[in-house]
Order: sequence, then structure tokens, then C-alpha cells
Amino acid sequence: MDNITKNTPNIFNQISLQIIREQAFIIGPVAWVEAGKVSGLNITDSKQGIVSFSGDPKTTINQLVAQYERLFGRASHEVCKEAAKDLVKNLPADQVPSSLV
Amino acid sequence: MFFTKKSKPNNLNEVPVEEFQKATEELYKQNLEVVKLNKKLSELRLRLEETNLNLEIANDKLKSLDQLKTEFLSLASHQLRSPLTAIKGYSSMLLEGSYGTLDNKVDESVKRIYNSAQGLINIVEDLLNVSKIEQGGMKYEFQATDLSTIVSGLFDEMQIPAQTKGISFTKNVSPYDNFMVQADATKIKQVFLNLTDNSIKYTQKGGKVEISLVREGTAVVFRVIDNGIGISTETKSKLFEKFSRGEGAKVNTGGSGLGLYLAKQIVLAHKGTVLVESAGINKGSAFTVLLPAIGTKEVSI
Repeated sequence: MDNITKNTPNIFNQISLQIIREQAFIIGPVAWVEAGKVSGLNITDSKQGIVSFSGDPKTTINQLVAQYERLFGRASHEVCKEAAKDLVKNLPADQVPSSLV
Repeated sequence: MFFTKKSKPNNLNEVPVEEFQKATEELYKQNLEVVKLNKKLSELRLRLEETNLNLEIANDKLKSLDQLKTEFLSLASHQLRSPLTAIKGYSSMLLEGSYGTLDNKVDESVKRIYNSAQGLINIVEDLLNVSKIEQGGMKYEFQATDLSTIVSGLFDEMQIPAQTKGISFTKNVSPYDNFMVQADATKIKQVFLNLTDNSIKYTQKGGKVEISLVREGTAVVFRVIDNGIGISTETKSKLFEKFSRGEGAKVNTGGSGLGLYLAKQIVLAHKGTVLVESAGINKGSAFTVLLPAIGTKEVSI
């Protein structure tokens, strides 16, 4: 197992956190409320930024992005991509959620 | 406003979903713009803080360098003054015949040594005075002073240098006016001497230098007018700065370039003003010192 693959679950955590935080900058705490509605994503502590996945992280992140886009439109999708841009570079190509490509 | 009057709903449940969605997206975009602007603002503030910090550091460095420079000047000047005074003293004794009569060639050489030592002493004195001013250590002894007495003394002192150079040197002081000011007589005399000496220095043989003292309103005005080499507009603006040599540098008259700087600082300490006028090169110049007068215009009898 190379380093990237070993750290992948952690990178997914960071990506989802980064997306939620960036959305929270724009729309406030409601970003955490909406993230909590995404199935497969568990918000353990929004203040400390602790999240975990109970489903497939890749699919869950796609759902998180879709949740924001459904409510706030195309602009919010772009914000998600921008927020995750640097972290996505650390993922193998086949592991990158399609919504962030 | 998101709704027309016609379609305005009575409560939120009646808001069409599409319109609500549109309004939410619009609000999101506006919030996004605000967030972006805030980020830019924060970046700018950070850069400003960084620039301010760098400026403060540079300013502190400059201050300590300036302090070092002043201390060095003061120390070097003190160290130079003693040997120079000895050179001047011994050459003076030689000229006075204390060691026997000198033949013409030796006498001429010793005179040169004496004059050079005197020139260097003047420069050292100027440097010491600049150090004192910059360290805030220049002491003034203010007292009621009659400037006409100073000007008369100065006129007598400068007769010989003016005559030696073949310059017409005149004085114009009204005997009926009151010229009392609060001043440190020694330092103000130094200023007047410096200005007069400059005028004589920069006026060619056959030229004219006039010193005058008048009352103008609440000021006593000392003025030196000459028809000498004049001052260019460019030089005029820097004339009272440290080490400014003006046209003097071109005619090789010696000097430290500190005289006018010192004159200005001394006049400022007297709450006065010093001004220069000149129509340009070879058109003469006029230096004016204005000092606040004490009492009425006329002399009380």
C-alpha cells in the first residue's frame, strides 16, 4: 500500500471538512445543518470539525456537493470545487469524486 | 424585491418553489461576493501590517545609524580640535616672532599653515555645533539684546576682509529705531557673521556688500545684500540643508557647507525666520533674518 492510498480515508475527511467550512463562510452554520442531512456523512462535532463516513466517501462527497448545489445553485458547486482543489491533488485519479473534477 | 405586486403571496407557503430557489441562489451569490471581498480586504490588511512593520524596523535602523553618525562626528571633532589648536597656536607664535624673525618665504608658508588650521578649526566647530543641535544639546542663553550693537561690532570686524578683497562694504542702521530682541547674543552674532562673511566671500573685487537693520512691524530685520555670484533656483531650494555648498563649491572658497544649516537652526531656536533671495547666477543675493522684536518701534528717550 503506497502512502497516498494509505492516507486516502483521511484525505476524504479533509475534503468534506474543507467544503463544509468554505460553505459556512458564505451561508453560516446552516452549512453544517445541511451537511448533516447527507446520508453516509456523520457530523460528530461541528465546532471542532470532526466528521466521519458510514458509507462510501467518494459517493458521500458527491452527495454533499449536490446537497449544496440543490439549495444554492451552480455557484455553490464551484465553491466546493475551489475549496477541495488542493486536497484532490493528493488522491489517485480513480478516487476523485466526479463532482470535484 | 423578488415578487411582483400581482404575484405577491400572502404567506411563505404560497411562494412558488422556483422563485424561492432563485432568491436563495441570488442571496448565495451575493454572500459569496461579500466573502471574496472580505478575503481580499484581509489580505490587504495583512500586507499593510507587514509593510508598516518593515517601515518601523527600517526607521529604527535609520535612527540608530543617525545616532551613531552624530556620536562619531562629535567624537572625531573633539579629537581633531586639540591638535588643530596646537598647530594654529604654534604657527601664530612663529608669525609673532617668538622664535626669531622669519624670512619672507618661511613667513608666507607659516601664514598658509595658520590660515589652513583656522579653516579646519571652523569646520570642526561647525561639525560640533551640528552634533549639539542634533542631540538637542545646544544651549541658548536668551536675554534682551540690542541687535544694533551686534551689527556695529560685526561691521567693524568685517571691514578688513572686505577691504582686503576690494569690496565696498556699507552699513545702514536707523539710529531712531528700537532693535531689542530676546536672543543669545553670541549665537545671533555668529549667524550675522556667517551671512556677511559669505556675501564677502562670494562677491568679486569691486563689488558691493551692504548690511542693514530695520524694524518691519513686530520684527527686527537684519539683511545682507550683495551683487556677487548669485544663487541658482535649484541651489536656493537646498541652501539651508546640511553640507549644501551651492555656487560656493564652484569657486572653491572652502567651508564645510554647514554654515547656513546652522544659521537656520539658530534662527529657528529664536522663533525667527531666515530667507534667501537671488535673481540667479551673477545677479547677487540677499539674506534676511527676521526676529521677533521687544517693545515699540521707536527708541524710548
